[in-house]
Amino acid sequence: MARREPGSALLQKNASARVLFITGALLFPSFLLQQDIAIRAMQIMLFLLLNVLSGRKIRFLQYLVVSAGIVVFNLVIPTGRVLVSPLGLAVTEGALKSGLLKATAMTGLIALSQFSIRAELRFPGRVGGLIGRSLFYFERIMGGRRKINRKDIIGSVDALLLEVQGAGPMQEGEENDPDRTTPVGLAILLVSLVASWGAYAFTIVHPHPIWGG
Amino acid sequence: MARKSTISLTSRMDLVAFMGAICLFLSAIEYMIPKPIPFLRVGIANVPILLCLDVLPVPLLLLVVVLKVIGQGLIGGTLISYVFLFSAVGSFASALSMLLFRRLFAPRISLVGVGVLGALFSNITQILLARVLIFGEGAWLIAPPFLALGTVTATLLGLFAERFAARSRWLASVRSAVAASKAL
Repeated sequence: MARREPGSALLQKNASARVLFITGALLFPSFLLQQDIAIRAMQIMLFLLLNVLSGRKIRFLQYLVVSAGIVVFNLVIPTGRVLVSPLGLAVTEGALKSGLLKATAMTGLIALSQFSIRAELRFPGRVGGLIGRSLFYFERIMGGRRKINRKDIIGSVDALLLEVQGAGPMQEGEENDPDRTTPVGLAILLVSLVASWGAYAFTIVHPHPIWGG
Repeated sequence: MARKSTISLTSRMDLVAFMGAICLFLSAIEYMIPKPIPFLRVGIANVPILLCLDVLPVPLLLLVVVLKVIGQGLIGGTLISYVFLFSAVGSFASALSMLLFRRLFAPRISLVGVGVLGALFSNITQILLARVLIFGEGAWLIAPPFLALGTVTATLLGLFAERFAARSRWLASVRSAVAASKAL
């Protein structure tokens, strides 16, 4: 199978899947340990920016709907003082903070994960090899997806599976695992790490949350 | 079109990888369906698991589930998010419950029945997880529509799996290869 050319987005061209994954793994604790909702929101903005630089499409509406849903469900159980009571529903401070913390955790981790995980990421070991082999067959099936006929889904899917399976197993060297991290890519990721961990250090040195905590 | 009468995936790991790939292909189709909540899934990717219930030994079937879960995380880019956790918990709850009911009650239970039970177990574990991680007590509000939707989609997918299993020459070739191979 031919090697896939890197995309045109900045981080697609300048950072390998492995380096992006390591960056994501290092950013992960700095985000989850952060209890200040305002700083968490800034971290999410950083992750969204990294998504843009990675060429990922950002689904703002989905993020908003998910966040709103989580906050509303958390407001069902009131805790703390009542802030406002629109339409008879008491919005309490504790429930609102709890909802916002969970909503930011959910959306932030999705944003973090989406820029740092690429399909061409390969893991070491036997399980890693198995995942690589599975992704290899997946790309073959995807390559033939246009042969699926809506009028005969079962028949056409069956024919496609027979065809892909008949093409034989993966050969050595057919995996697509490019390593192309450049100083530019590394610099962007290092700045992101310093910003995210720096924000966490700030909340330790300055333990008065902007909001939340 | 290349059509071979015998299965050319020689090793059992290739068969597992191939089954995992089908799960990923169906996950990619599912990924294109818009959803209000990211971990809410129709469950199309469970069809290969349903089809494998009578074909693969338990360890290999669970390996297919592992590939499905990790592959979904890689393709959807959700590997280090709560979505991955929900996917893993739901997939294993579904696969283990389907295996249990199929092994206990086959041939009196159809793929539709097994699929519906799998969906129920998957959805219940996901609701419990959502209660702990995200929604708090409010999770019970989403339980009725979540379970109802899961039952409807699982019924439809079970019907599809029954028809596919009856008609598919590919599945028949896998079955005969597995039966013929002592290595499996």
